[in-house]
Amino acid sequence: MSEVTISAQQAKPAALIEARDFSVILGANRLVALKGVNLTVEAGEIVVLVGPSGCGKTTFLNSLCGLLPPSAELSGSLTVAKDVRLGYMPQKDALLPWRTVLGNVEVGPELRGLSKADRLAKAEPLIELVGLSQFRNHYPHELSGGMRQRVSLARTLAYEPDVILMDEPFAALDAFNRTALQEEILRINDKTRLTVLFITHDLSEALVLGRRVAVMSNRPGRIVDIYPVDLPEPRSAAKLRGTDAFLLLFQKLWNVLMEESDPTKRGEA
Amino acid sequence: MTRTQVIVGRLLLLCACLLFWEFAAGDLISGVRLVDPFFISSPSRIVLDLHKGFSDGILLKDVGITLFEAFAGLAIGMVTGVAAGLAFGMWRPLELIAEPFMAAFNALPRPAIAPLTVLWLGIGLASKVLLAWSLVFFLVFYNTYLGVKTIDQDIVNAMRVMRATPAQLIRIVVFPSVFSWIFAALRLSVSYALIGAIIGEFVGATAGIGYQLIAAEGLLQTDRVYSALVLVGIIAVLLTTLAKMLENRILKWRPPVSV
Ligand SMILES: Nc1ncnc2c1ncn2[C@@H]1O[C@H](COP(=O)(O)OP(=O)(O)OP(=O)(O)O)[C@@H](O)[C@H]1O
Ligand SMILES: [Mg+2]
Repeated sequence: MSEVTISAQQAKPAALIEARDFSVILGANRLVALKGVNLTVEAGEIVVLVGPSGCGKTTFLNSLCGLLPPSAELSGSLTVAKDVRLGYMPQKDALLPWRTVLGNVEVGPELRGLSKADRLAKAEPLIELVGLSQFRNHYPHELSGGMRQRVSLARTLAYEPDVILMDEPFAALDAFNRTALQEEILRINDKTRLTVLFITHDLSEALVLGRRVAVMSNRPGRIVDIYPVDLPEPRSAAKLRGTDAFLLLFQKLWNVLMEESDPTKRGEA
Repeated sequence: MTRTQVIVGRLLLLCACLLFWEFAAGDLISGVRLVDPFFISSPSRIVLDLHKGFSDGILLKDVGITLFEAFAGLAIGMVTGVAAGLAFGMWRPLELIAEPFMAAFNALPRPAIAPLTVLWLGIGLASKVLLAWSLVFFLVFYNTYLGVKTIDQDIVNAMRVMRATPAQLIRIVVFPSVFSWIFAALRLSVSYALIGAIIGEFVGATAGIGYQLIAAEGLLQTDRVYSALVLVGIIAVLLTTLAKMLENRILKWRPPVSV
């Protein structure tokens, strides 16, 4: 790795994640995945990142998590505030197949060294929250895709992260389950303010969840623009969708995204 | 097929085979025989011989000794095999340097090594334990090694993001995910351990089923040869069934596997 600092420095009080002119070059063929990304995520806000496929969204999350391959070259700065715990919810749930729902949700607290009783105290309410109390002793292979993603959400929350990174967590779900899980996130967010960096391809998901939506350009990815989403609170995925304000924003973002996805505009660096 | 149908079918096949054997040896219909029982014995003769052997107390002692050797080889083989498999799977330099040597040692024909083990460790139990170990170890080693290599990387990454220490990663992810491989190895290992112990007894021993087999062959006691073989078969089936039950119990998180 090069001169970059993925360090735990004291950033400005509110910014939990701050990327400044952050670039990533990947692999043996030195593909420029990210070029000059500027983005901050502040405590208590949900930032959604949208962008064309392959533009480097996952690469950005992986940089934050320290999951890039060792050959990756980084430059610029990417700062995660001191003592910030990151939670990661991937598209494909990474549940432990040999543990029950309860065992999976307990894993975060377990890794933090909590006692058996404390783990249970953290896990139980979250399993309840995602509506899986009856399934607490079931194994992942006995659950549907939507239920597994609920477990994954509960597991991520049970770790009590300061920032939750979500990489298209609902992309594999049907429309009904997707909306249900979006509602769940909104509901949880109303109770306990979450700080989330959420990646999606789904613009209506972006508008339902995001307080700010950042649009990323075609590869090499950079942030083209960031749009505040001023929609009435508390939000509801089902109710928001038909409103004029929603449709207006949707159209605007759609046009920006279409422009960015245009292959003739692709600027290889 | 239902479970009952399968079992009934198996029993019928077994009865048919035994009846034909009994008939071929001329013990079913007197005067009609296909082969001299001196060569093939017969089910009734085997039962008689087993009865005699067990009432003498000889066979029981031999079964005990062979089982002891096999279990000692199995236990040591499992522990060392898992340890070596984990080390190879998780430490790349070791894997790169030592893998060909493992393959070479594993390819050594065990009957050829058997006399050497007696030379090193004497005619007692230890040489048989060593031979049983040499079969079990490699089986468990390769299974564990493969198990580590095929761990779901997404799970490992999820744990790493949650700042799992290496020790936690081994306990929470590596061990459970290689468990199914180790248990798959357990079933075969049981038979291997038995085979190892018996081969060892062939070469030089004073007791054990393998010793009884060789001794009976030397004395042309065909009935005893067959009853020893039957004993080995019964023990192998019992032990592998036990291993299978243990496996299904411990790996209850998997979608159930039949067979
Ligand atoms: N390990 C790697 N080595 C080389 N190139 C890689 C590697 N991982 C990803 N890439 C490339 O980097 C680019 C960005 O990938 P990334 O997965 O970040 O895109 P994405 O925005 O998440 O796409 P999607 O929306 O389809 O998930 C892609 O062109 C991909 O081919
Ligand atoms: Mg991606």
